[in-house]
Amino acid sequence: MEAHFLGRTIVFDIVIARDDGTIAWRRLEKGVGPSILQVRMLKPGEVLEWRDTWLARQPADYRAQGILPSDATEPLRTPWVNFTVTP
Amino acid sequence: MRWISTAVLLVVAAACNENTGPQGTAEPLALIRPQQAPDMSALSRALPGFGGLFVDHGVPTVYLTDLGQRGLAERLLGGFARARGATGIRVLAGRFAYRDLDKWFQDVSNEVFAQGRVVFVDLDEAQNRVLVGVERGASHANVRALAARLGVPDEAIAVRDAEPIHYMATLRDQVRPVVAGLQINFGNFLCSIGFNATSGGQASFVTASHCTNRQGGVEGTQYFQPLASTANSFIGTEVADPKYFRGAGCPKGRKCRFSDASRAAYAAGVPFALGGIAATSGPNNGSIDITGTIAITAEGDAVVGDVVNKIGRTTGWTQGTVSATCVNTGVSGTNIVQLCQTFVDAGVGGGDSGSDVFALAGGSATLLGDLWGGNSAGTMFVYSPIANIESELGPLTTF
Repeated sequence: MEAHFLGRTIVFDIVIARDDGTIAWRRLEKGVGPSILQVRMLKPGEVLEWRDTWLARQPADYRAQGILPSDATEPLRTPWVNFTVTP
Repeated sequence: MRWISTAVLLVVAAACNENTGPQGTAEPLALIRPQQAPDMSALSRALPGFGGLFVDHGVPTVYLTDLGQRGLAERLLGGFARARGATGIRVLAGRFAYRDLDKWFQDVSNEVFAQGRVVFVDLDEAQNRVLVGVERGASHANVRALAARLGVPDEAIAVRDAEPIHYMATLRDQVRPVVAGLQINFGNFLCSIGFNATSGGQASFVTASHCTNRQGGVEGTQYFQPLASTANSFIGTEVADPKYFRGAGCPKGRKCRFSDASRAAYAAGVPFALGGIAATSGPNNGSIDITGTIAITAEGDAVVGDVVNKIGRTTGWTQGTVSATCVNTGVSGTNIVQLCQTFVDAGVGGGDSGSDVFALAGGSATLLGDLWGGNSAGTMFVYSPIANIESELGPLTTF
């Protein structure tokens, strides 16, 4: 399967939202990146994984979503994942 | 406070859902379905002397070779007329019956394309004739002679000149001559052509510096349009891409240039249109279908508030307002700062790198620069002004 990704190094975004829907953190909130498109052939069953770290400022319930821009009209999005930050 | 490690797994998957659709079923007579266009064959069977049906300024109009069938025609088509807001139908005297026209249409269609330069064959319901469209300069007499051999009355056939019909190409298809805005491919990356140029007599195109094997420095990147996997797609080789510098106005710890631009020399024999930009149907409509070309007739610069455009392989033609000029711009995820760049509030997507940026006036374009980046939301793009590009790549003739 041919997959298209943004960037020479694949660009991904992570959004952390609070319970009320406000955004606590967005990995790509600011900044300007090159608009180059990378073409990758994925093997059947191949999984790609991206990680980043976010420093929580307050204990609370949050949810996170991963976003993968490409040349499609809408980027790929993971389902929201709920998690809790304890004091 | 504590560190929270947030691991997000993104899985790319595809599913193929083959939908063969409903199997063909026999339609009941369309005559009794006023909301639908009547079935011509059914009308031909039900209405003696029927010669064709069309709508003229909202009024269903029917040809009859036997005007005595007017009453039957009104009964059969009254519902269709009312459904279209007409009070009734109009009847015209026809020379030929639809069933004869249909046979002649099939006979002519089967044979005439072999003559070449035939654009279309149509049973023209509005003229009660078979209509053949041929390319300008093609013989009308040959078509008429063929029709005569097939037993078609001369009065039953019309021949006229017609524009050739082509598949509509997109910005991602193979297009010759090469123009700005088309997709290019190097390695496993896709970008867009910024603009064509000559430099010291060398036929060239300009794209982004990061659309080379290595950003800054010449490595002889080979370009294909639209893809390396397409036959006869090699179009050129990178020949100019100045290295990024440190110091001399570049922020500490960073490396800089005034443009994210490189130049590639066209391979021998590759046709290109100097000053040509592939045009889609209009700005901000998402289309990447090519509908024509825009001609560059000048080079210029923009100020805050100006409306500018770009056309690139991913988001097509986008248009918006310049929000900032001469911005020293850090490139996300790198130690690069692009000096004195222009920000535009307009759409951009991955693969648009290198695109032409231009202002439009009276249908002609003033070349402003090449797009190289944007924000993650795809709502703002950044371009290198043409003056910066030429200060680094050398003087260019762009139109």
